[in-house]
Amino acid sequence: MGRLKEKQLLEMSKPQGDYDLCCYIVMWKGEYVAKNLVQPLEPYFANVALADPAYDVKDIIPIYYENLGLVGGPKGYLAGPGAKLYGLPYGAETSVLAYRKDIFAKHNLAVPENYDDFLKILRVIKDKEGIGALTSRGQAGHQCVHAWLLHLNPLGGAVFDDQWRPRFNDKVGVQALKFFQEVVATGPAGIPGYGQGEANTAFLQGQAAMYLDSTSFVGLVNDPSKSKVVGNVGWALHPRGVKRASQSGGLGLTMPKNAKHPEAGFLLLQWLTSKAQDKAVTKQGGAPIRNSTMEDAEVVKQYPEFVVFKEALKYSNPDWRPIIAEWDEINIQALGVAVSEALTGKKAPRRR
Amino acid sequence: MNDNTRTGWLFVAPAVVIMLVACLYPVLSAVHLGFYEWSMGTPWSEAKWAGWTSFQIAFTEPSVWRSLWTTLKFAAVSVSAEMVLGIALALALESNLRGMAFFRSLFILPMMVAPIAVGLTWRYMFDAQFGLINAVLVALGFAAKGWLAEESLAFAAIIIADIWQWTPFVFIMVVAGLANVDSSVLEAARIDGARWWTVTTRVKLPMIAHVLAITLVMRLIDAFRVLEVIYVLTFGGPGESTEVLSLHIYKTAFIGQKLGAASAISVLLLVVVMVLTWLALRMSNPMRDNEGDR
Amino acid sequence: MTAGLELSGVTKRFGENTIVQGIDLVANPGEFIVLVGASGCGKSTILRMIAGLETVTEGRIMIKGRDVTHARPDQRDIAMVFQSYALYPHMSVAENMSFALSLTRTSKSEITRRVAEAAHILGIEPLLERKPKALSGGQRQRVAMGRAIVREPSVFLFDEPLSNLDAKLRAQMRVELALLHKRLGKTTVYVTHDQVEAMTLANRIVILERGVIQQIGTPGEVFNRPRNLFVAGFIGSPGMNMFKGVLTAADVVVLDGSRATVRLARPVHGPPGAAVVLGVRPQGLALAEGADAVLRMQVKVAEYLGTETVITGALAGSGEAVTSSVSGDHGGVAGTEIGLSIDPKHLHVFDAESQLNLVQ
Ligand SMILES: Nc1ncnc2c1ncn2[C@@H]1O[C@H](COP(=O)(O)OP(=O)(O)O)[C@@H](O)[C@H]1O
Ligand SMILES: [Mg+2]
Repeated sequence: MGRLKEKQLLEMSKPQGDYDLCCYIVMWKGEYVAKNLVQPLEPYFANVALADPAYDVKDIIPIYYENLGLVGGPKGYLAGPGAKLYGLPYGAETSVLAYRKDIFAKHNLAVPENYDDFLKILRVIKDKEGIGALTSRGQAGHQCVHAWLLHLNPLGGAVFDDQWRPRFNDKVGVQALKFFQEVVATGPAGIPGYGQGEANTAFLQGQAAMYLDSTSFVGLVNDPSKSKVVGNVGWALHPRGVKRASQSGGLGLTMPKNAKHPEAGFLLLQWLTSKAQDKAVTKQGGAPIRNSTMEDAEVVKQYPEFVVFKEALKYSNPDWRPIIAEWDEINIQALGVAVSEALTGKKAPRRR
Repeated sequence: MNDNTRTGWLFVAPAVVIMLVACLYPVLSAVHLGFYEWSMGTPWSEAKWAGWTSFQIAFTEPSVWRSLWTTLKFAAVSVSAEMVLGIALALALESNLRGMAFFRSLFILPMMVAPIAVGLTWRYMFDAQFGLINAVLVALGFAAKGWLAEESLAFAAIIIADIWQWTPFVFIMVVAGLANVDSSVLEAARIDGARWWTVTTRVKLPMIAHVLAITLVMRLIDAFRVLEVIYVLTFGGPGESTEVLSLHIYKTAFIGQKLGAASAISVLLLVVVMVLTWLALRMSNPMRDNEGDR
Repeated sequence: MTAGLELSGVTKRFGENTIVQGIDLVANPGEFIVLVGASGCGKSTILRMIAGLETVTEGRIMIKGRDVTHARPDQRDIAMVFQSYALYPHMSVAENMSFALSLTRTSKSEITRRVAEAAHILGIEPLLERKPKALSGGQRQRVAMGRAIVREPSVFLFDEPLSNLDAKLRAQMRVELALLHKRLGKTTVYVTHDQVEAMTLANRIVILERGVIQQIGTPGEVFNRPRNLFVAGFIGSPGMNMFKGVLTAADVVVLDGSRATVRLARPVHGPPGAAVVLGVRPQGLALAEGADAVLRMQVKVAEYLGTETVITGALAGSGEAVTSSVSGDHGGVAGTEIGLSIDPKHLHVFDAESQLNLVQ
């Protein structure tokens, strides 16, 4: 994944590129715009020769639209005056809680609604069922930070305050990290080494009773060739802390400035993200980006959990992490080391 | 310089020049880049002269020294284990001529696997829940371990993966070296009263000292540059426990977007590798046997 | 007196192949024995069995009355000099020579003394600190011998030690070897394919063919009384002439082709009418005219070598190859037909079937 960005940077800084569309991770959007490598999409949508009148931009899930598409607002990566559209979501996601209905029923457990219950139930499941309570990413670097941010947001914390002063190490930051430590203590063995693949596998193979991660996980859960827990999984909202705040992230499609055939690129982009195509892809197991797809009766019949997902999207927080140029470094080299060291017990979480 | 040597120099000059340029250009450009602040994806014209800042960072940043220390430990442990195991295997199997062909082709496999695949394979093997290593440990009556979840175990894991991948290289080099040893010298040693251990340590291995030295140097250089396997296996963690210098350089360059600092650190790495290579070559001086030759 | 070295019924098989067959050999103490034979006839194998580098399939090896058939090489009281010298390339000359002693409980001073003594004998004192790579072929050869001498063994074994040297150095080293043997007086087994080395060095020569001993004898015996055709052809240079013929009487051979009648000095043991091979050393054929000229030859080449001329050509009548060695310069006969007389003293008669010498 890391290597993809290098390649894209090199590719898009050539005088003339070989790609007319570029699939990026949400974190990179600000950097690509700042380095003048991608172009705004509005002129293309304004071009009657290109724009599809039935496209319906408003139908795109607003939080995805803001999170992946907008750059240039007052906070840079959020909506607001000055923000322009540079990309469209294509594989976006938010966080939901997957849980094992069978295990919860067996021990007569209620699905945790808030972080107090969430914390308590970890130990209960571990003791009663003998398997990991909650599986989680935990590998040093962006993986463990991602998991920590999942808890930090609803607990009311943030990496920076509104004046861009670091606050990740305040009381809430410590609380979130301690929660994470309990997740490791009660979870499947080896979480501090888990990437997303290992975290997934633990749940799919029945080694963990819960998994708080992305909506995009649903495809794997329902695939009998990869999952041993098909039919036993329930979905719930990301538990509430002082507020509800689920994650926002995923992939988007943008158009490099050095594209050789920008019009063709736009047409493809428009088609890929159109209503019909979104529904078709979703039915094949893809992640929808449109409200119309989320609400489509046929789709909901196929994926009953979309009812919960749609609810979760209401709480998806576009300011879930700061999408600034320095974020990669803070994420991987600073927080990624510190959180990891807390998970192995090398260092204790404490306030500064 | 007589006429003959001058003509000789003329003949090799183009090759020497090309070699020098090919060897020095990347080094010099790394040094050059070290003096600038520049970010990938921006035009070079926007690069800012930064003077010695990057080198200062390279030499004062604790994480640089930590990762250098990690690299030293990694190289020392894995390369010495590879040398010992590779030599032992070669000695054990060299006489078994029929088995040899089989083992040689078997042992060559790990080296041919792409480093990313090696990393992935070992990541599965070390998996705490489903990994083969823990399965074997449990079958043998030991407790399963969180291999990639604990600092010391993760460090052991990257070493084990490296040993698995590179012991065969040592093995093949040593086997090739031993194949060139005049067997009558070994017979002379037997007649002189040397038993297996003495023949091995005082005759056989000294006779391939130059091969051992070259092998050692090649392994050391490689061990200092190891990146992909660790990237995939641990990404430097837990904490920074497996963050070797090349991974640190990678992160500095492509995650921290500090290409200048990354270049400065890679110059540091280059210097360390050169010093170590020089030491290793001196220790086992492969040229010594040629003293007074001609 | 116990033998210096005794081989009885020594046989070596590699799998199905019998390489050495029933070797019986007794070397007297101090005797210089040379094993000679064509390449691949098993000489090295015999030597290596004596050294303990190769197992013995059948038979027994005794050194100074002690059975060493299954003893380790270092416990046999032997030292060996290899064709490739087999010096330890990473050790100095002194270290090469003292290696064996350093593995035993020999004192430092004793080691130094013995190395110095051997170096003195061989004249390699100035080389002691050098590495083998810094030595010439002859010097390496000396060091290899020095390494053997230092161990003061009962038996010296040499495997073609001179074959890597140029002709001049080989001749010189041959003399030195002879002197060295005289000085040390140790039982020696020396392997070579070069019959000149064999003739000049040996007390007794053992001639081998395909792992079987053909004859054991002093140089004079094997030259003058070769037991069979193989030995006769192998020993002597230029080689013995061989003419096919028939034994018409106990002392008369009529050659095939030329129908020449050759009278022998003494009657031989063979039935009249038997097919034989007449062997004549080149020195036994002299230029002759008239009645003395028993044979006629068409000369192809006449090489004047300073004291004698070696004339080669084809025998008139049979076309068999002939070589004659006559004293003086006769280079002029090349291309002509000449007459040759036969000196009966140099005649041998071999049974064509058994190949044995009938003169004995
Ligand atoms: N280890 C072995 N295995 C099989 N055959 C061998 C081995 N060593 C020698 N021989 C065979 O034995 C024969 C005699 O070899 P050797 O004693 O070296 O001959 P020489 O020294 O007279 O030239 C050769 O045909 C050789 O190929
Ligand atoms: Mg031989």
